[in-house]
Amino acid sequence: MFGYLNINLSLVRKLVQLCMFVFMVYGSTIVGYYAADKLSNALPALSCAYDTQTADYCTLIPFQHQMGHRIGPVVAAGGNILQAFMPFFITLATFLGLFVLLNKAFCGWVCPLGFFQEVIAMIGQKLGLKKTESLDGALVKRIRPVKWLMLSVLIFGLPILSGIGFVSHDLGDPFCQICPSRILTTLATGDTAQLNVNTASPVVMTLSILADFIFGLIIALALTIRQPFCRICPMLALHAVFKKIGLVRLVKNAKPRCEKCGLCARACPMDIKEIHTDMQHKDVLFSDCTLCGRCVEFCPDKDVLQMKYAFFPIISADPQYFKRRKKSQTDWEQKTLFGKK
Amino acid sequence: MRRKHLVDQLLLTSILYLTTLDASAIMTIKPRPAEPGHEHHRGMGKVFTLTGFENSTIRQVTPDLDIINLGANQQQIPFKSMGKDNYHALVATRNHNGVEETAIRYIYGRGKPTGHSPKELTDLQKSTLEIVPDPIPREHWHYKAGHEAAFIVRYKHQPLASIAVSLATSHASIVNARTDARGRVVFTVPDDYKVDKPGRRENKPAELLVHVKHQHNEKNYATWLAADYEANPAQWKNTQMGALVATGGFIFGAFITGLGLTNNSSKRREL
Repeated sequence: MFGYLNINLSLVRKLVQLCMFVFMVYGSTIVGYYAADKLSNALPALSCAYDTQTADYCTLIPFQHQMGHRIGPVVAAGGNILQAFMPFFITLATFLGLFVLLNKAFCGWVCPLGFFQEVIAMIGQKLGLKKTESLDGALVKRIRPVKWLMLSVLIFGLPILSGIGFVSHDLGDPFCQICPSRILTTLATGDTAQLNVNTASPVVMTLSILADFIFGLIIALALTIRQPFCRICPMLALHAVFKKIGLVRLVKNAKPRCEKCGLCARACPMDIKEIHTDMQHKDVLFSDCTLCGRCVEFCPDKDVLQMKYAFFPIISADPQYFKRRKKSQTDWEQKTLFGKK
Repeated sequence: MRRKHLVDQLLLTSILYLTTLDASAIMTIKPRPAEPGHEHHRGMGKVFTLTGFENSTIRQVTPDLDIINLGANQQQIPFKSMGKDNYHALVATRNHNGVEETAIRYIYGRGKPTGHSPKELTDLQKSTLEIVPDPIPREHWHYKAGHEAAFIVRYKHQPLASIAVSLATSHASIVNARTDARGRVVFTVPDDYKVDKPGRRENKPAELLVHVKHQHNEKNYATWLAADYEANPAQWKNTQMGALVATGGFIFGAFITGLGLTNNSSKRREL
């Protein structure tokens, strides 16, 4: 569709991301100020509840709170465990309701932190900084399990242990305490309060220092490396658990030429080499995919890669589109603030 | 702990009495001091105390705008959320020495979501003269010392412009301001709450009381809005240090990318 209409998918995606960034960071003027007015309170993207102007907030917040405040205490003291799990199930159902609609595209099209990293990368490119083309395959493999660790330990493990009483109450929402999106989105509203060193307790102080450090680190890394935080984000792991039920899909109709090509893997901002090497499966929506669609854009063979909504193609690989897209990318990368490369 | 709370309440009442410049009594709804051993409720117990309860009638407005009559002439007000999540309003009214007096407090109750916004509760007319938080602090948010707090003053549900409003705290501060043309007034809550131990959990909230009085057609009205406020987190949170650490993170990031820990092979040009 995009090829036929002569539209650059990446440009469309950036515009959508910009609109979603504005909506997620400042949208309370549209949907209302109070938490009760928000769209779902379980958005599948890192839109932060610490931002008082947000239009909706990230599902990872209620998950942590439900582990720490509802389920943990019932596990420790006894009680109706099903009743304790009810808020968790409601949040999960809300999350899934949204997730079915867009699948992992929430990462690539909606998440404010994902967009922020892409903007930083554009700044790095325009400053003429040398981009890291692709992370080393071995390094990518070492990084991949971190997102699962983040999900299991920071979203579920520590909060439930905190609710039971095994660890400090300060570890009730550990991911939020280190999440760079909390600092980013509040700073975007002019609120500097979340960028701090908190001396309330040793645990809180450690988490606050870690958060500030990660925020600075992500900015520096994003100047030259694509999507540095996304690679370890627990939301990516949560999405991966349910990726089969989403309506947006990535499909590969492998051809022999694919083995020699590999342009799709080089275009992938998450360095998913399997998109190139997997010749068996039609479903190539891998755990790290953010459904940005770059692999489809940079596939030179007709219909080899397709992004579909249920059974309907949204964009299919097309030689003509590929040529135009490659040229526009080359033109973009050659221009910097200091002249042409 | 209980004694300290009583002293706070007495102090707040005395300050307001001295500064309201008329003989009307103070009418406020405050949390009853926690019983020994139950301090973890942070003063947000289920029983509230009404100062100036003589001849009063007390109502609870739920998030879905049900109005429940809680009785009359009673000092202790039991609060139940009725299983309805979000803000409820406790409203006490009386006629005292020819003055129509109202005390209001908004209380967060736990329960099932009602599907109603707190805006519906604040928009509802609950008394002739009314102070409405603009907005009520959102779930998990609180009034804080040193931070702004905004209110709208309404008379017969219409904004009341250019009227004097006072805000007093249980830490012996009082500030005065005047509403704008939209009936809105913005205070900076006095930064008068010095903590012994750092951290929000270590410090019970203090009390603030916003007061306005109004005369119309020789009839007098007075209203008090009570809420709690917390110590200024700047006492244990340092933004400059935060910025410094973030800068350290940035420098470290620049250092490791500069070291070339990643593969920069020219054969693997990125698209």
